[in-house]
Amino acid sequence: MIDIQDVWYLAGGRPILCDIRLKIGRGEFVFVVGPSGAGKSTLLNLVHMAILPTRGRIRVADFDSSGIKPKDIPFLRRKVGMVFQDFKLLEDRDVYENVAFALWATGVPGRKIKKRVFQVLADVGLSHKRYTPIPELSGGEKQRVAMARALANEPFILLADEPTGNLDQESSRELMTLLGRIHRRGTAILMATHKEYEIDRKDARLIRLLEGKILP
Amino acid sequence: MSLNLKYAFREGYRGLSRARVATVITVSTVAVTLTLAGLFFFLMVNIGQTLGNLRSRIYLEAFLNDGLAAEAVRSLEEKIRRDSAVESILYISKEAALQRFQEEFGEDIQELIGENPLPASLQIRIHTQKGSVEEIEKIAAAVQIMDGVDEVVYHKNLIRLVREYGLIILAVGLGLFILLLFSSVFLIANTIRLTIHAQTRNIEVMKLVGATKAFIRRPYLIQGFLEGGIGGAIATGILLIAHVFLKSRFPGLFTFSLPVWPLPLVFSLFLGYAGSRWALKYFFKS
Ligand SMILES: Nc1ncnc2c1ncn2[C@@H]1O[C@H](COP(=O)(O)OP(=O)(O)O)[C@@H](O)[C@H]1O
Ligand SMILES: [Mg+2]
Repeated sequence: MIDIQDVWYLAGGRPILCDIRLKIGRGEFVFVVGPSGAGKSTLLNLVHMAILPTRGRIRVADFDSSGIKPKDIPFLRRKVGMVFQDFKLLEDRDVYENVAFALWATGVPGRKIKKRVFQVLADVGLSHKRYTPIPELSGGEKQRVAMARALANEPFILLADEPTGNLDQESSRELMTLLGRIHRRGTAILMATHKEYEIDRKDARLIRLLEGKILP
Repeated sequence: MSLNLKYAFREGYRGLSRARVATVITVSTVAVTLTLAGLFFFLMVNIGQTLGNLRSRIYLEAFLNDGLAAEAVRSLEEKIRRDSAVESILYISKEAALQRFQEEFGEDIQELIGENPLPASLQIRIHTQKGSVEEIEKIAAAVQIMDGVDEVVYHKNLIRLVREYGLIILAVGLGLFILLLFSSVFLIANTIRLTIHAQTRNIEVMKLVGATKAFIRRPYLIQGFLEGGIGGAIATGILLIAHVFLKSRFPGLFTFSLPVWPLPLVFSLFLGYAGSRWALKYFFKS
């Protein structure tokens, strides 16, 4: 489903990622761990094609990095959900609007939006805070809003780049539990983190990245 | 689609209300530009009408020597007519000149001084499109030295006014108008640029969740249309009021019929579109 073939990524003449080979199957849970600067974010950015490989190719469902056109990228993004360390929420809108925004922006008909938003908010346990403005939420709640937004269009994979990076221990644990629940529903998950000690999943695959290389 | 448009309109409106000061300035500029353009157009049409009237009064008058035979007059006419700039020639006999004089002044000077002092003349009309001042001077000089011609007179200043200042007024007005048009488009682009800068996070999120480029741009295009359109509507209102006022004060003015009234609005929408395209080009070029 995701197939990374001999990918190199160079920035400023310096190799950031070297000869990456990685396959992720339907419904898998994969952690990418490694210290800061190892190239984890770069790898995730390649998967949602914010950047394209210098060499090699990546296939994500029907999308192929070697022939993709800029106008195809939005349609890839609808199949690949993303959450980040800094949440990337719209601070001037409430919880409901943040999630609905993703559906509006992708042309979902209005009569379907409300139902879908309530559904994903229930999935992340935020139904009761649906009309709370974003600045009034805790870090953990913000990340769950981001998660709901990422899931709104029913992606087959969720990319999470240090999703616990700004959370305290308690919220981090809750978030990991939530990720587990999403995974059990059939969504593949690719999560980058430098906190290996937070990983408590037996069913997950673990990939170690160091200085742009996958360790055996 | 209909919902997306509703969404785009709401976001476009949000853009307007966010950059409030810039929006007021922009809308006012568009309104002023189009009002001035409208008034200028109105003025030009009226000047054009007046100039047209003046033009028909441009002619050379060649006074003839007394006692010139009808034969000689005819050959003189023929000679003058050879110049292609000459449109028509009207012969005014001594008697006709006298009659005109009497009509104008109400006095019979023949009775006063015992004879008719007015010479016969040829009124030479020049094609209005042809003939600079220099050319008219050339014709005048040529006619002056012909046999039987006593003197040639013409309204040199009037000709100069019509031929030269008319163009200058038009050029200055047009230049000013173009300058204002550019400032309008620039200001619209600038307001939208402000909005876009204030919404970089929104745009980032839209890209993240898979909004198409067209979808992301639509609210800003609508913002441009709104800014232009509101300015255009205000200008139309002012022009309509000005029109009613001028017509009541100067009933002789040439006025417009209905079909030109939507023009400022159409024009303003075009300005809005140009402005937003400009802003978007600047922002989304990467
Ligand atoms: N566009 C870029 N230009 C230059 N260097 C970059 C660029 N993007 C990332 N890097 C470098 O690549 C390395 C890996 O970055 P990143 O993928 O963000 O690591 P991680 O997410 O594992 O902390 C870092 O040393 C970073 O400075
Ligand atoms: Mg990173």
